[in-house]
Amino acid sequence: MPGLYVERDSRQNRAMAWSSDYEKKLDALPYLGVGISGEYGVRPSIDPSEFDEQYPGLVHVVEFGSDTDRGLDASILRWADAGRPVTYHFLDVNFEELEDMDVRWMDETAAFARRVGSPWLCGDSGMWHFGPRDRGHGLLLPPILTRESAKTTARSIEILQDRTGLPVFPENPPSLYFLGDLHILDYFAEVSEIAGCGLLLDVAHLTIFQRARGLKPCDGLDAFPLDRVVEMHVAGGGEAETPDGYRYIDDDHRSEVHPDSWEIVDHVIPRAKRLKALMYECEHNGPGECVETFRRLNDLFPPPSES
Amino acid sequence: MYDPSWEEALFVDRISLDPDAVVTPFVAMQRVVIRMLFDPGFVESVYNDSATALAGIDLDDELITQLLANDRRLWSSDRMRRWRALKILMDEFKVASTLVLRETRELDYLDRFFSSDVFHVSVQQRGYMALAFVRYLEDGFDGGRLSSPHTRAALTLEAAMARSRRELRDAERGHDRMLRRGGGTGGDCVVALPGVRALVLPGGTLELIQHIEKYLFQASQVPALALCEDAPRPDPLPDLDESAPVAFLLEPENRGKVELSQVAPTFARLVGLLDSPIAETEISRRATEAGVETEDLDDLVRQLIDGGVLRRVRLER
Repeated sequence: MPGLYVERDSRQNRAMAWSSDYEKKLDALPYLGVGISGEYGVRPSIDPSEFDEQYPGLVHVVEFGSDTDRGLDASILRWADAGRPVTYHFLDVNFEELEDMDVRWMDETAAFARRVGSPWLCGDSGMWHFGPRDRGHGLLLPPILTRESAKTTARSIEILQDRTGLPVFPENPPSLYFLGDLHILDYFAEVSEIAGCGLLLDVAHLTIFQRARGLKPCDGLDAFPLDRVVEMHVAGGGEAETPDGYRYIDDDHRSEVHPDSWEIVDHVIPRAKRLKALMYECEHNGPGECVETFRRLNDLFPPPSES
Repeated sequence: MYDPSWEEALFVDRISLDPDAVVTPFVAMQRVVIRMLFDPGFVESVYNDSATALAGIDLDDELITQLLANDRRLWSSDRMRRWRALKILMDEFKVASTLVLRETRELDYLDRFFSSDVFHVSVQQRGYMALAFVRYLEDGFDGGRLSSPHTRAALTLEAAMARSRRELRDAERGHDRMLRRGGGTGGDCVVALPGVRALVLPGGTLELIQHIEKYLFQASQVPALALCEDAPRPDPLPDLDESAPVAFLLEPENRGKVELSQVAPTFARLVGLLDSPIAETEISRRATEAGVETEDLDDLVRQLIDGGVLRRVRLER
């Protein structure tokens, strides 16, 4: 590439890469157990504190999704200020565009995470917005699954880890389409290797990917570094159809988890030796609809010993 | 402590405002996809003749082949995407967009923004959608589709506010557009604070804004009134008086708010002159050329610096 990208590429040679030191850092992270997702309120959601009062022992951590425009809301502060564990999920960064890694965004994001005591940062790794961050620019596109894109994504993660001092776990995002030759698991394995970062595996998103590529639920997992998966997401989704007849799996976070997703969960959990948190993304459903799935997940991934 | 990775982040951040900056083919493809998600007409163009539709964009041929292998219906699976985006634009350009609808009587006129060249160019060049929307409406005047002085006055004000809040935000993120306008000016200069702007509007513009805001509040009480032939309209509009212009100062604050205050015309002309850096030794001459008439210019400049309207900067030539 001409001009500025020559310099950028030469700097990418400094990438940290996966290392035994980083493995030790991951090993030292707290074990959090099964949790529930939450997002700065756009529609009625399960309040984690109220859910815990009604159904004790099922939720041990809350993952809060937000962006630097919205920040933190009262429900997550109530949970965090009671000394309960929280993880911070960003919704506003494009790892494929290095220009998105502006210092102010990184500092504000780290400040939110520290305010709620999040031991790491995580979030879908794709395009969260077009243009600069601004109202109306939000969307979520998957990364282009090529080695060049993986290299840039890894560079962004390295910068974010450097700047914030927090481990960053990129998540495989959902989509109706995927461009690029790599399997999405290979893409994120490459990102992890170059950046030296742990991973967040979203099971529902992987289900959608495998369907879109005509693959079986667990295809590709044998070659995937499951020992680098620190967090997992489980969510419901189901068949949907557009008015002009296009059929797809909608990642709508309904309470019922797709059978393909359960197959992946059952495969991954026993093999993910550094798994610290398992989030059930169900906050927009009725609390009672989610209880059975929480119980099943707690059986598969037991609560932290102190709870 | 110097950390080269932070410097790199700052470095790439600074270049990102250049619309002609080179982007990698995979990022260019992401922007093509975004345009397809917003514009079914563009989807048809890409599928029917990708060479023409994607001409001038540095893309990987293999990715184009993969793109076209997708069922074209998937790009419009989110049928509300355009309206969601339009709602956000209409929130920010509340009065101008209302007056455009009053003038054109056609929602489609606003919706077609997402199929316009200015929208597509803005996405492909990583621009602000809101500022592209302003250009789209300004083009409406140039093309004769819009002509109302009321619409123009409201657009002038809301566009200035939109630019003001983004200039402050960009400056906070390391892109001070006002310093970029120096055009080779160096040394000790004076320039307005990021996003601080002055503008002159026809007399009656503020009354127009208040009139439309009141109308929109009343209309919001009965959302289904769009179905009624006797739905209230904002007419008659307050008169505008081009012969009695009023000067305003715009000062952006955090969270997108822009303070608007009426100022003396001399004050506005001076702030307008200093929306790009001017060497301190040149201010007097440039002010005279611009018709800024004041007995003690140095004192006024000092007061504006003390008042947080102007600032001193040292620029490298």
